[in-house]
Amino acid sequence: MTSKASLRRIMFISVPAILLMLVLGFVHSSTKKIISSNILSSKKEKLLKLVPKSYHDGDVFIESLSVPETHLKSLGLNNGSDYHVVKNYGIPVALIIPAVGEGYSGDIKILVSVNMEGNIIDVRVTSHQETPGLGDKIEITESHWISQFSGRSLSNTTDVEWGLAPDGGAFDSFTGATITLRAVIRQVFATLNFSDAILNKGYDSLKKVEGIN
Amino acid sequence: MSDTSFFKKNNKQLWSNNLTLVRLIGMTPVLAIATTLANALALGLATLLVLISSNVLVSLNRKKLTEKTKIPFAILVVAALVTITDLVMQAFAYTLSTSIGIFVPLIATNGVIWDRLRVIAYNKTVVQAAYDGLVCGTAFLVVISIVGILRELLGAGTIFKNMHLILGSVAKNWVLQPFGENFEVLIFNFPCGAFFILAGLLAVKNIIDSYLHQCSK
Repeated sequence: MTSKASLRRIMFISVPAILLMLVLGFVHSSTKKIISSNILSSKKEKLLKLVPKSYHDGDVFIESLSVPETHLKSLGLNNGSDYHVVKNYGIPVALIIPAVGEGYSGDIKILVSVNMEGNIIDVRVTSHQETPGLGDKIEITESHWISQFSGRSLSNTTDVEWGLAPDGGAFDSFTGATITLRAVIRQVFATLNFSDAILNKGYDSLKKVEGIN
Repeated sequence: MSDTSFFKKNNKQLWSNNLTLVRLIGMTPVLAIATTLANALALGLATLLVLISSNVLVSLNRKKLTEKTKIPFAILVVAALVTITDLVMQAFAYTLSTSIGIFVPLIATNGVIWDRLRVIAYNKTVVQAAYDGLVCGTAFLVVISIVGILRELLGAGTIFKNMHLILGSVAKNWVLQPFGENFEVLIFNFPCGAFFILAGLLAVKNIIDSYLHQCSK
């Protein structure tokens, strides 16, 4: 093998590589802005599904704040997780708090929206691996079980009542899904406790992360 | 081999030598992602575009390629094209790109593309390579769409769900539910259900083939 042939070979791979790199760089830089705004607006849309139109009438801004370390464990979240404050014309109207529960087969991720009086607006499961036909009744598309939480607050539901009806709690149960449902209830209760802490302390004191317009 | 005979022979990729149904190449996306017609069409179209353009780009440079450089060069080209497709899809069809997710970058590992590069792009002219890409890509698109329609119909009980993500707001009200509201056969939402459907398609194709064979006797 002569060095000339190997040089030609190197050239033939590196020149196209550089050219393609330039093309990729161009495509990346021209789509970067659109993609990040797509991600933000889809995130906003997903969050606003939990807050009905009656709470906001146009100029909505979602502020994302990091969950303080002291609450990470009770909510089942990782370091660096955010909760969100929905603002209508600059005035906070609702909190959206994530939580992760330990289900029958893996994590159940939920989002809970709470209004400024500390009442739950809505709860949604964003991802889970529960058994189809049994545990997946926590999805709004499968059953209305999850809407039982709407209107609940720490003041109208006592600590003991945060459980399934057979355990003496206030929430309906399904056969074959007890572990799943218990996990969801426990985490909803945890988010309410967290929202109570925020609403009494004032969220402004916490670090600001990012805003979604 | 004259030009016309190449094109005639190449058309066999549509039916009698169909890559997905006869040689069972490129099954992964068909099994994994074709849960709705919209997903199937999106991935099929993306694969078609990557297939044509990679065939053309490799064929353009085929005379400069040596035994040792042809595979690295093809990897470069396919990887770049797939990344571009992925970025463009994220920019202009974000919802669609989240629903087919990882399978857009995985087009780079699709057997159909590598088979066509190996058989056609390294040896044939640009026009022939482009034609081959069109034919094989269309064959793949048709198969994945049929699987998509059947899986959507059986697994979710709908037809044309989410088509507005591809065709714009015209298609928003196209959703049909021929079996009523709550029809779903769960297994068809999973890849194992897709295996049954693909097997069914293979069987149907073989029945048609043997019927045609008898007729021609």
